[in-house]
Amino acid sequence: MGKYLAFFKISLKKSLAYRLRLLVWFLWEIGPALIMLFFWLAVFANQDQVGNYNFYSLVIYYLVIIFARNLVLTHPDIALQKEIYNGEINIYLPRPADLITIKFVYEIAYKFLKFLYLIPTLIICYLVFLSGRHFDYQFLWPNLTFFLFSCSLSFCLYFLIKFLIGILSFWLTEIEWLDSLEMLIFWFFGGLLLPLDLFPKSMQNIAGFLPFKYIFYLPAQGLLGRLNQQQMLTSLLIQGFWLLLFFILVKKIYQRGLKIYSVFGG
Amino acid sequence: MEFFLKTKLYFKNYLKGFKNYFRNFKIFNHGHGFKTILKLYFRVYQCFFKNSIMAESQYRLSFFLLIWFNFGWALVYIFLYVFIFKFVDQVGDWNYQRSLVLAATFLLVRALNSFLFKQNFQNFADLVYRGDLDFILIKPISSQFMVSLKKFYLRPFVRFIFAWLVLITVLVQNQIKLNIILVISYLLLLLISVIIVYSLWFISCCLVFWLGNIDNIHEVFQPVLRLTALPFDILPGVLKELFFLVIPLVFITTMPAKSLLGLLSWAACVYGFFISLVLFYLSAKVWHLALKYYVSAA
Repeated sequence: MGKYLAFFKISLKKSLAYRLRLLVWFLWEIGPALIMLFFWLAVFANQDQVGNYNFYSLVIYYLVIIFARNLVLTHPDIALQKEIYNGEINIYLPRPADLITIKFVYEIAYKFLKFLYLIPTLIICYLVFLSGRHFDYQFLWPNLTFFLFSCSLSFCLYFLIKFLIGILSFWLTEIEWLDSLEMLIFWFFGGLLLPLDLFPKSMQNIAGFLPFKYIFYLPAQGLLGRLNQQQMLTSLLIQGFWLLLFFILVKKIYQRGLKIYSVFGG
Repeated sequence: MEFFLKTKLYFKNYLKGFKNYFRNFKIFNHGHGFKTILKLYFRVYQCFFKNSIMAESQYRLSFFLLIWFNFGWALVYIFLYVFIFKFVDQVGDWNYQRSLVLAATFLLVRALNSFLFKQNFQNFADLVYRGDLDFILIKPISSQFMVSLKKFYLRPFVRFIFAWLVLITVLVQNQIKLNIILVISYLLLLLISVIIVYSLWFISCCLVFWLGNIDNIHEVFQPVLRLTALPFDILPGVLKELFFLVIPLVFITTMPAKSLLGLLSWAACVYGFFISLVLFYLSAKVWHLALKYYVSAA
């Protein structure tokens, strides 16, 4: 456990050293959701309902997106690509933990600092969009528990997806297109810009076969109280299935990658 | 009164400075006339373009795929409006057709700005932090020109064509009447928009001189640019004024789209032109000020 704590401290110190850099990424992550909030504010000036949503449920949905985008989304792929390409991955190989765990602990520490930026942002959003207005949202502990547990699984799942893209650099010199493809599919089918139930049925069906729906959309729906216990359990099970699948894939591909990996010089 | 007189004097001296600069243009530019200098810059710009094509052809498959994914992002924005307007009739003054004109304009503006500046601003922080700016400063050419326009980002090519296609389709299908003045004002406002985006983006990148190693400084402006996908008339009062008068984001997408729809006053166009010049001038000033804080790396 001590070694993981050491990795955690290293990453935390690194994040603190580049806190402005982190702030830029933070702004980048909250931007689209904030834009949509202003848009819905104008839409609801003329009407009370959009699909199954009233103004407050949409605001909560986008606040969840802001929360989850900052705490769930990880990006180890770009750094991995550079490290594999330049041979810097050597630094990690003799360490007393495997690369997947080290990168995972690094990401947790990174999120820790982002959380500090997140709290005031959520408070400001609450004051701007919700404070002083009456809304009939019922807060329930089981929903919150589901949301937090599901978000933790989402964090692991998304980390593995990105890690998988990163380690494909053992074979591909350039992975920017893969990263771009993944982001594109995620934006379409992950409910990042709009809740998925405002999409046409055909697109919702496609989204059901992909892991992205389970990363943001379903945790958000759970928090909004739109899932019953059965649906929550099913959602968690499917999330668990994707997690297991990607874990096995990452392990296998990483081991194969290491076998073909070569670096020259000291 | 004293403030007014001082400002007047300042501007008078400033204009005199300009006049002298143009009078002594040949002296400042090693005996070359204005036309020759313009030709030289154009030739350099052509070389930049050729180099960018050569750089992109290094990973051809990746480049080809990224062109289409870039186009995919354009689809995201268009579908966003298509899906939303299945549930919504009107947002402020913007109905479905008008919103599509706005979305297409947004795509055009983003494609243009990415094409011209993105790659350059991505390298901006590295240039300053690693000291590579030295190699640009010693060249007999405007350093701001070289830093801002050296590389072209060719990936938004399909997105650019797609945006025009969407725009033309919406205009034709909805029989929106156009005349030559509307088209010219649209193109001029697109130009103004590019100047405003360039200036704001460039100024935000210049912060790296003071803030140190922030390799993602070019991303600071991205959330702001994305905000322009919204029609600015729908924002609450104070924000609307702020984005019109102080930070003229309204001229990036909303105003060009409104001009094409015939909803824009000439006064607003003139103000847009004026503010774009002010911002461009400001960007040059910030650059010169920032260079004073440049310490190189050696």
